[in-house]
Amino acid sequence: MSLIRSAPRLLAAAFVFLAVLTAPLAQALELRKPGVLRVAVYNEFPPFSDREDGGIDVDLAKALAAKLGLKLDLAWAEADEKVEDDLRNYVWKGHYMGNEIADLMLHMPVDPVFNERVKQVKLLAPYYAENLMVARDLKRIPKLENLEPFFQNHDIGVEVGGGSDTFLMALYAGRMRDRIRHFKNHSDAVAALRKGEVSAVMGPRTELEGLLGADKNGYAVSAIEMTGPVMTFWQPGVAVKADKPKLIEAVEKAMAEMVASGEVAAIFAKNHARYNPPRAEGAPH
Amino acid sequence: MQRKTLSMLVAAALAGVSMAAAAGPVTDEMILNDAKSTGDVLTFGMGTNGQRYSTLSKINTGNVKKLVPAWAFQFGGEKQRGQESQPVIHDGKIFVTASYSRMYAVDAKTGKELWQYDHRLPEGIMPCCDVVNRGAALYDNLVIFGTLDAQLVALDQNTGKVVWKEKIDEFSAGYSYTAAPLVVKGLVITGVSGGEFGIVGRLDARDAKTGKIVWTRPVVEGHMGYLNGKENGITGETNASWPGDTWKTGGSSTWLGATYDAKTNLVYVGTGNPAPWNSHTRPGDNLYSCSTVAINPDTGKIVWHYQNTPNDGWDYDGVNEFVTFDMKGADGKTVRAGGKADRNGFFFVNDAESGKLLNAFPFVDKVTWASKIDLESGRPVYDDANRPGNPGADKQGKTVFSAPSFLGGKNQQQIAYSPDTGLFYVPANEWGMDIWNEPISYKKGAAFLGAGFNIKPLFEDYIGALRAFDPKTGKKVWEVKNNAPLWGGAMTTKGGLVFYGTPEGHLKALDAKSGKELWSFQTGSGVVAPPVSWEQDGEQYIAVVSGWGGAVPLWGGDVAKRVNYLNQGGALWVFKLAN
Repeated sequence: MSLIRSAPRLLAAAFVFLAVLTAPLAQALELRKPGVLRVAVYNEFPPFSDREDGGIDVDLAKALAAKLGLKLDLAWAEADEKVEDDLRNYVWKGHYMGNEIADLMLHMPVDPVFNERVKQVKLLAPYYAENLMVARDLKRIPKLENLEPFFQNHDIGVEVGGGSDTFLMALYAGRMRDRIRHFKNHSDAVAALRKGEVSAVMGPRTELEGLLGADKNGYAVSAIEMTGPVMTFWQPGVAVKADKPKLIEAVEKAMAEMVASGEVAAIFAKNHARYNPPRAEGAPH
Repeated sequence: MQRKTLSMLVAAALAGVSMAAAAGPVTDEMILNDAKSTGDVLTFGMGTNGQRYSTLSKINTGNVKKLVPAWAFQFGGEKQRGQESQPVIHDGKIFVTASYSRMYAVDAKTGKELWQYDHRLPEGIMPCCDVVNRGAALYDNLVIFGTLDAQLVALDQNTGKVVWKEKIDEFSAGYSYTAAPLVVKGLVITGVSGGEFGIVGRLDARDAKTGKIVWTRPVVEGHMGYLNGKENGITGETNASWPGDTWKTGGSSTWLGATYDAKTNLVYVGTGNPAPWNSHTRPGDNLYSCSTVAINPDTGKIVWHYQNTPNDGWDYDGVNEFVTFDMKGADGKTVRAGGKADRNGFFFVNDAESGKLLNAFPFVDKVTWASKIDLESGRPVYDDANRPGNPGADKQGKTVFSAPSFLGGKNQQQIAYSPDTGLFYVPANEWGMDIWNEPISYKKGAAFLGAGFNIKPLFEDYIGALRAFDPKTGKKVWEVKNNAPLWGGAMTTKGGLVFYGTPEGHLKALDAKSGKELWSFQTGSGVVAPPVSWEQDGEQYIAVVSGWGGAVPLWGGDVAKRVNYLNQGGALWVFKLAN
């Protein structure tokens, strides 16, 4: 009688033992599925993540999974209005259409002020520093120090609703408005630059460089002096659900090693963008 | 020919000929007569002009307390969320849509399911605007509805099999569809739903039998319209009211559909807020955002527009339905007018023929953004101190309190009009919002200057209020308060009743003259859909869909906390008088 009763318990114990044996790391890392690292990256986001062409974030996800000894499962994220929404849809809750959330999401801003607003996640492991810059056609604008050319006869492209859009549209009481050309995304804006439809594009440096591609002959991507309320610098990193301390620790350690070893820099070079390592002190506010 | 049939119908109606239900294919004549025919409900709005008035009086103030359930039908499925659908009824069948792009045909007498259609949604789809569907349109042997992935699907009424399927637009570009289509003169007319960026509001007209596009009319200045594949003139005048190229991504989605008045031969569509959200970057009126736009269905051209909120900075979508009615003026003359309870808290009455503003009055107690609508100029008198600050110019920014909140004095919940009482019945909500600039905001790949907001109730004891207004005087005749925000439409009847549902789960019947509650029934989940009424085998029936959800729990801030105890569901309830 007692033997029969304890049999299921013995069996259960055996299963637990087996599970621990087969996926010790997964158990320890609080993953959704043993042995699998599910990483959310933005859909249609070159040069970082594109379903066909891959990109920096896709390469980074592969490298991170390999370093942790896990199989990679990519979750393609549709961007919502704000990053808060993306974190809710892909990291801590899930969307009401019933998608499977991810263990972590890349390209999330590591910003303690912002993290206060989304306490359900921990923003950590910055892997590079991003800057707002201007890509320009050197034939049209050989030298660029400020926004002066865009008050006269040069059109500048921006991504609709993005940081450059809100900044430039409001600048100097809107005096630049007629020279600003709105595009659905930076890919379209850079394509217009290549076609000569605009003289310049303002956007995040890595996006501009990556989209210009291997041959940047005739074009330059540079910083200009920007005054007024605009964030010109921020640090993308990783978002993990806040109640997974072991995963947080493992990701933090792995990413720091990959940054230090030059592995991340190599990924950027492969995707035709310069690499700016993250600053320890974070973004200024 | 069309005119002849129409005048014959009007003559028949004037002669007091009773219009019973017709079997067989649904015709244009039947659709135009829907408000009077008692044996069916062929259109969203119980008539193309959206009065939601039933000429039936078998259920009335004297006997409504004897109303009992005849049957209930459960949608089932693993997923529920908001059920905002109005059933349509023809030939003994009820056609009702449900969340996640589902449709059911049910036997009107027994509640037995005849068929179910589950639209296959693409993998990974993230529709911007919830998973609701507001109902179907009937034409010929077809029942037509729109889906979350922005397709229009026409099914055979008898079998539920797909007859035609057309793409309204690319869901991957942010388009979706949630409204009930409108059928006018053999054309199925639809708007678009979608996120704020990159989409441009418009109205499309297709051959209802084949789905082939006939005309399309953008509602943002500068965009080209088309008729039979040929250019049909641009909307408005490019750059007249939008700076730079902002008109190209002007927003103004037409997500709540349209109404039609046979007397004016105009289709009326409400338009959403302009993009981007920050009004300071797009000085000008931003036509035709936040407006009522009247379009001739024969030409696909705009005949008039009236803008409810010029240069909107509060997300006051002007999508609310424009409901036409006869209004007797001070001079004794009858004007064909239209009433619209706008998101911005004002009730507008316009001449339905010309668009001229006839009256405007607040239908909520607190409006902060404008002190009044000037009847002479037709424009709001803004309170500039209460416009949200410019995130681009003002880094710190102040917190502005705005009422109504961006969910509106009225949202998707439909108004009703009774020709008997001459009153509009408005499911209103009293709430405001704090808005502040959020200099540290992020979106896909970028830091930007955003805004934060929090919706707050204005009163301790209620948010919702069903109110009766006289459109001529603006007088509030009565009101019935409700703890949770009202999100379901109203219906009124010849029997002297107003029916409406509450998120708390009740379907209620009030005395249309006094607002006195005469009957109430607990449906088991929140009601966020409008009731309908029809007659079969000599008995009058009432139907309503029950299933809590919609925008309030998604966006409601402090308000969501007030309603987070409510359970989801999904059922069609049908009532009749106890024998």
